[in-house]
Amino acid sequence: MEEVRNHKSVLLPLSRVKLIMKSSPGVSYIGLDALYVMAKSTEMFVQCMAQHSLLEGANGGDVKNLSYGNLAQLVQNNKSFQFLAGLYPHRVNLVFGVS
Amino acid sequence: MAERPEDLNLPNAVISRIIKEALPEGVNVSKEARSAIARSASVFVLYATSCAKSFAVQAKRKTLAAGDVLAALEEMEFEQFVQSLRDSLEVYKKEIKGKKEASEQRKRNRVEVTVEQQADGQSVDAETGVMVDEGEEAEYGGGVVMEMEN
Repeated sequence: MEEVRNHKSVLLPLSRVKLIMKSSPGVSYIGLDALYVMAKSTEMFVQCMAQHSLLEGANGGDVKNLSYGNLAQLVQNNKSFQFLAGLYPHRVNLVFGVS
Repeated sequence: MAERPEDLNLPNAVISRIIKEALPEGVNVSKEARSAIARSASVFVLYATSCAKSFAVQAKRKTLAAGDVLAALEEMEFEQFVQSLRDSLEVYKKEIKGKKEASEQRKRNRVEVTVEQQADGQSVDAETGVMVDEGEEAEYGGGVVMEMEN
């Protein structure tokens, strides 16, 4: 099943991927092959992110739920995902105490 | 160029489907997590594009090539994707080539058919494909062409 999926054409709309690529400064021409590779790799990235973040939760014993917390943890712990740090701001728990 | 910020979003339905297929059955993905992954995917495209662009600039090319994107992924430490991407790219190229050849073949066939039929003293109405006997057509005379619509 996995093999078949990998060789099928892309699920993501190429036109949308192209639009995002073009919004990057200084990018004017994009080869069709480059567009295909980008769309395909984005799909793989989404798969990879979902699978890895589920594992992050598995450390805490929860393998049935994927929450925002899993993703934030993944971004914080995994070097490859560090570029997303700005998207996942630290959540600070406020503790009200009497001192 | 994207005009509205929403133009940079990837379609939610597609992202959800990819996530669902990647995870074992029965895993519950929160709505918040799903939209966070979709946003991350957009940022991934932007980041990979800007890395790929610097490879193209180094090579003094204006057009981003597949090789630039693959090099960018290696730099971003997603080198585990590269081999599989190369394989799918080969398949994709063949698919495109196959489609092109098929359409050229169809065009060639059409031309041959027309030529053969004209040699028989008949012409084919380009629109309807109905064969018209030239003798009959001459009877209408006066250059009136009957158009058949279906």
